[in-house]
Amino acid sequence: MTRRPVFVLSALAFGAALTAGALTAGAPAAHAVEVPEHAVITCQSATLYENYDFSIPGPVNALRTLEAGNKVGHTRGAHPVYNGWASVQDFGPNDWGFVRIECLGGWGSW
Amino acid sequence: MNRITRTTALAAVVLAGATTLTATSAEAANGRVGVRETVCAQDLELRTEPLGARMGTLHHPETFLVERVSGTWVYGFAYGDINHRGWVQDGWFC
Repeated sequence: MTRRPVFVLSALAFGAALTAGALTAGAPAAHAVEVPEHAVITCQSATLYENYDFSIPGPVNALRTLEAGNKVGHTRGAHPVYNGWASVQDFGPNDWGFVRIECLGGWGSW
Repeated sequence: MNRITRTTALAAVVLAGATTLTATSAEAANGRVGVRETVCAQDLELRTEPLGARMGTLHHPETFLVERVSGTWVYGFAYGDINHRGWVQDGWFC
């Protein structure tokens, strides 16, 4: 009677560990990545594109139009900038894309 | 008796859940060096290095030519919307 709970707890812990492992393995690129440097859009409007196509070369797949003051993330010196197109995280929908580097400013302002 | 039944059932549910998740993740395959693999994931981030900065996002059924495998990451050329080399997490090819 005193051992049964120990077995049950062990089984539950094993199951939970398996579940956690499966979830970790099942999440593509879900590893923790450092929060990028905080910035804001300084242009009146700036188109956010999903990818930068090196065969054009240029941005492809317009996602949305960002407006002045929108919060984005881009770590200078660490995140790619291709021909003036900077990889940024849009803190609105929390996804990533490319905007013109000259439309980024207000570093660390929020 | 009821307590044993409840705990056994709970353990079974947890284990069943783990098995289901494992089976789901096992549907995708690892990349093979020299093979132009098809991306199976809906979204697969291309990165500058393993766990590095994002370079872009690949989608099914875009293709990726695997040139090198390093642990759980593969390096190669991303066709489709990016057309550039980078790293992606392994295990998300069809």
